[in-house]
Amino acid sequence: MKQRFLLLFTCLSSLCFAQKDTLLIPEEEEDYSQYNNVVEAPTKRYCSSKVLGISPSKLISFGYDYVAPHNITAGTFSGFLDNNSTINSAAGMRIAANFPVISNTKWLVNLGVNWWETNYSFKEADKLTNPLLKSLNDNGLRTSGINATVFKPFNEFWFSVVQISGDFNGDYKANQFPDGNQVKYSVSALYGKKKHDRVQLAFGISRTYRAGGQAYFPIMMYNYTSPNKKWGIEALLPARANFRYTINARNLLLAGFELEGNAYRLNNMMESTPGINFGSLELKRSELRPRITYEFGLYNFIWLSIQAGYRINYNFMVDDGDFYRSTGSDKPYTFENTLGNAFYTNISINLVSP
Amino acid sequence: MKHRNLLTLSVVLLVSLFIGSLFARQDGKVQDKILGVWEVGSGKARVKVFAYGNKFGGKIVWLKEPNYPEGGVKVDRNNPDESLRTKPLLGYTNLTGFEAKGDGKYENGTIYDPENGSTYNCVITMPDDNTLEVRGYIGVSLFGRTDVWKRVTVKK
Repeated sequence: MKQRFLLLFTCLSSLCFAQKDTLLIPEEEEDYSQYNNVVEAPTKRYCSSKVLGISPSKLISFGYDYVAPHNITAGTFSGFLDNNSTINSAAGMRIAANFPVISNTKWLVNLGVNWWETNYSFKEADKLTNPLLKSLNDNGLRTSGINATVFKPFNEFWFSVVQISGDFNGDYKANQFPDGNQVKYSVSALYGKKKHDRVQLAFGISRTYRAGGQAYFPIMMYNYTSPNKKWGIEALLPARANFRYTINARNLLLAGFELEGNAYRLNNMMESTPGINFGSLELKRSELRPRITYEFGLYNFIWLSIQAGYRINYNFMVDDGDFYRSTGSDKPYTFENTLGNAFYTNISINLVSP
Repeated sequence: MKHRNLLTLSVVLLVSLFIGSLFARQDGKVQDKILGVWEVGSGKARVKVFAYGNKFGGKIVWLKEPNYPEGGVKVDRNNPDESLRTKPLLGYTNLTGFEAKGDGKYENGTIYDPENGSTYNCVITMPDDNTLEVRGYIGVSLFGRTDVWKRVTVKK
């Protein structure tokens, strides 16, 4: 009996001994001051793309955008008279996903897809006579596309960023496949310096449709977080800028603006309206959105973003074709429209990046 | 009969000690390139990677700013578990569960980010002896971010 007990004890003690060392993390006291003086290994350092304290980047985002009632006047063209009306709402889903497909010391490559739609609901829609208003009411506007962002650090401080996107922009319906002539592409390139992990400054140039038509802008990226990490600035001018106040690690307040815009090929409008003598009409839409955003962690990596602001119309003209219109150009639009300003709100649920 | 029992006991004892010593040797004699002290990408912290059993973990052994501007040592104030919010960050185990998979890859681990109190799945890759690519991710590796750590050596 005594021997059996001894045998059992021996076996268990050896197992316990093994368990303790393999499964438990040793808690050992040590003098941490020894780690004040270290020698760095002779390797080249590269700056990262992330600025400390910046609002979390969204890997997957499901959002809904709603613009409150406002007026619209569509201009005269091709024998169609101008038409005043009220838009009860301009609203739709905004879905986007970004995947970091390459992420290492020397390269960061993100691929993304996006789907944005604006569905227009007109007051007394059956009385609309202008083809543009009828098309907006019947079809809405949509953007679906892909994008790629490449971040390339050259050393500990200097880096460049290139972003390319290709979108189908048009008045196609949600269940309709877009046409090839609705593709618009944008390119941005930046070169800059990350002085330390709380500040990043870069300058570059962009080919963009944010002002409605095709345009080339000098751009500036500036991301900053204060030493106490309570506030910061996130800006990519002239596209957007935000002042950030960090309530805590999972609650952020942002105040700023975004310049949103695109050029939409109106294929459905042209096909459904006899007598239009133009072959490539495009709506040049651009709007400035001053707003306040509250972002907070809902559960683990799921964040909610609630935004409210005022949508100020900058451009809602129609041109025949996709071309560069220089600043101050007096070339007339095919027809000119007036869009009223309105309050808007946007809510999105997001899976955020680590 | 007495001799036979004694022999059986001795064999069992020897076998048990041998099994125990296998684990003990792993703990005591692990030699792996990942072991050592590493500085995180932002340069704000240094993490000592250690072995426990057949796995690897890491703890914060140095902070660039160990105290709050308002005073007091930095603690894990963002931890979702309220009972851990007073635990000092210095000495905090932020890497656990890594298994060496060969070719400089360490998988099945987790990393804790005290900046936001989140724990991520994590894989570590060593492109060279002095660099760690530490990728924290959510669910699948695609949804992640990589931080690059550099080896540092304590001055004697």
